[in-house]
Amino acid sequence: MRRLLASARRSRRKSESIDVPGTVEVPSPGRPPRSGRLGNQGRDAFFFLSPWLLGLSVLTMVPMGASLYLSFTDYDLLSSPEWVGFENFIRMFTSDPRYLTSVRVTFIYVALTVPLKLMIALAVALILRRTGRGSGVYRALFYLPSLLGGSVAIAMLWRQIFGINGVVNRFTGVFGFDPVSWISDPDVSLLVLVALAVWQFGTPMVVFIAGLSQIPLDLYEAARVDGANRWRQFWHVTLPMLSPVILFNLIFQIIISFQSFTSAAIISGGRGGPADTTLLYTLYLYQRGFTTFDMGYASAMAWILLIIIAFFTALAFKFTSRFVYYEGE
Amino acid sequence: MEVFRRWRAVLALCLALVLVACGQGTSEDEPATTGTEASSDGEVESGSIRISWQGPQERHNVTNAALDIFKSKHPDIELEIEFSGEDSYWERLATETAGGNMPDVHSQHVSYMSDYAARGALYDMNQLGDVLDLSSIDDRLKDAGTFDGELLGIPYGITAHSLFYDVEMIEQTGVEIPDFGYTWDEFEQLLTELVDKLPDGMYGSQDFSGHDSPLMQWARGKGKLLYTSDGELGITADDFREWLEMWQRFRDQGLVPPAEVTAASNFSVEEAPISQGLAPIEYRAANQLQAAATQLGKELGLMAFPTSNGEPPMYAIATGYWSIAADTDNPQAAGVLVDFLLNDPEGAAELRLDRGIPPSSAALESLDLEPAEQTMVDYVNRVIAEGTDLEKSRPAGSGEIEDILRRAAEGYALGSLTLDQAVDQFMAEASEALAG
Repeated sequence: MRRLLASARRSRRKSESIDVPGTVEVPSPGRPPRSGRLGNQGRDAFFFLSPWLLGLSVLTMVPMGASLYLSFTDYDLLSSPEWVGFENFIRMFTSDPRYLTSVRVTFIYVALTVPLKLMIALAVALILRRTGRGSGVYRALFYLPSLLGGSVAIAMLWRQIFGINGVVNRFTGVFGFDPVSWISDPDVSLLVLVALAVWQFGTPMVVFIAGLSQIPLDLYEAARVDGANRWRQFWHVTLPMLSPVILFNLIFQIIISFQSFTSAAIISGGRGGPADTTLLYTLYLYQRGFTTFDMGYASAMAWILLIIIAFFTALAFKFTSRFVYYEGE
Repeated sequence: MEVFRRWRAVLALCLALVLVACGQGTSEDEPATTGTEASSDGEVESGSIRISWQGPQERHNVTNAALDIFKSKHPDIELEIEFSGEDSYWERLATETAGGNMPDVHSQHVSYMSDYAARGALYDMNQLGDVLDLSSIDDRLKDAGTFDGELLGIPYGITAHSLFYDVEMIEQTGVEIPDFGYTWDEFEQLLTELVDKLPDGMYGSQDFSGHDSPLMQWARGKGKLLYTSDGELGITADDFREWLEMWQRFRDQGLVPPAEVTAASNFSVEEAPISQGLAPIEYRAANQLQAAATQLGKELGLMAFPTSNGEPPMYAIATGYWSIAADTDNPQAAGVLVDFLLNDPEGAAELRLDRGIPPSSAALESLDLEPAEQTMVDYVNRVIAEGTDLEKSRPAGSGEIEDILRRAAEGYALGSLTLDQAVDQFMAEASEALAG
């Protein structure tokens, strides 16, 4: 340990003597750095990354490898896994209607959640972008649901709010609407989950605010001089300048929306009910793994989910590359 | 720059701590994995054992109180205690078993027992004769936990399925509670009468079309079994269709709450119809009577399940079993603990009847029963006296039936499945689950 620290100190002393990093010529990609100086830095980097690398390899890569193996087996936790080849994957698409239901439910959920959440996050960010008296308080207040929303307690609360005797029905009752059992009516139950997810728009909002504050004010000034109204300013200045941030938020939200689990699990009591209308992919995966102890099948499902998410992420990159504007270009 | 340097030191320290923690982790795991075969019969009754069970809060309270007594009586045995709710328990038990880390003493259930028994995960308690006294336990109970001649679990309580009713609410209507052996038609009449006399907005009973125990009782009332002795589904598609149609008729007449209301509640005491003031009758296992009455602050009564052929369809069931892990390090100490839980009068005074009628007749006699407990004991004894044997075990895969049934019944009730679809779905999924 002392030797490592000593080497770290040594290399730091060296690095003090070099120029500001921004002016260093970037080595062409793909070729390993030649000089001993960079090699040392690399070693240091690995040293300081090691806790994370350790975590990645032990806590992520090993279970992933195990899951990949299990996805080709029949494994019920109690007996040892039995190799079945691609049977799990074939079963999913040919003889498991609940699997296809869960895929459909998840797609609807993602297709509703992601755009709604991003639009609301952007709208609120536009309002809160100006710094002034109390803006910090408002930002914190709007961010709060994102801190709480993923928790079990909020999902329980949501269950009460949207229950037949819940606040929502009391409120709509004032206007003469009949009470709706939001969480047990198959037509609307998924919307409750969507609403819960959209309510947690704080994280993309904060990212949007940061992105908005990076847009140079002289661009707006120039637009105003050219006679652009508010809407045209938004459309021709804000959106293009913000596009990399939108792309980031879009991809991030696609990933976490596909992985949503807690709210559906708690609100439906772990069943994905009523009548499988809130059976999100991860919830069905969980049921397969831990209710019917079909670990091989659940592992196979996890890998298909990975492929689905990778596909949509790639799609987002591909489609948006045309619309995203990077200042450096 | 000074700040920078200090940060490096801090990071390095963190890393060192992580490494140290990892090192400790492995050294602790070592004995657990290698010590599995170290046990032998001659070992002293000391050491460390882990116990785990499932259930509602009240059961945790009484069991912890009983285990405190155990600790003071057996200071040599170090006890590690785990308990959890019904749902998460089975996940955890399966995961722990897969990891070679099954709790030495743990609760089992009739739905899962055969899964674990078939895989050799449980210890044969016949080998523990010198520490485990089974003399005051009925042979039928021992038989219920015996698989291929091995005593893999001992029932920790006897109960029976029943209908709970709110005594005060029923008395207000002046309706008679029927005795054992009444029919489903009479049940329908009873509900009609109740709905007439109860305040507006109330129903006659809970809708339990989506629960497997009532379906079992209904099948028995027709002289059938939900599970045959070969572990297959014992009812036909037509039977199941009849079951769904009957409940649809009840819903149409307003005898039970509408489908949306039923679908919104889970099965906990607080969300069920009596607590919500929706209906005076709901289905539950008889041993929960005392806990439910306390929780609701109401006087609750027990009534039998209806039948179709005049024979009362209820049968006694083991609420659950105490089992010992096959790979326990310390079977003797585990045996001492099971013996305490079954036989010790001081322990029984804490455990009372939360898990049903205690299997040891001596333990039951040592208790001074409260009214709700007496009601339960009378009811279960009546069920036993009326004839049918203790249900021995359910086939592997039966743990999935409740969910399959509930989805089919709920889907039909809510209109997202047609009757044909619901019947087909249930028959297909249930047969598949039971086939393994």
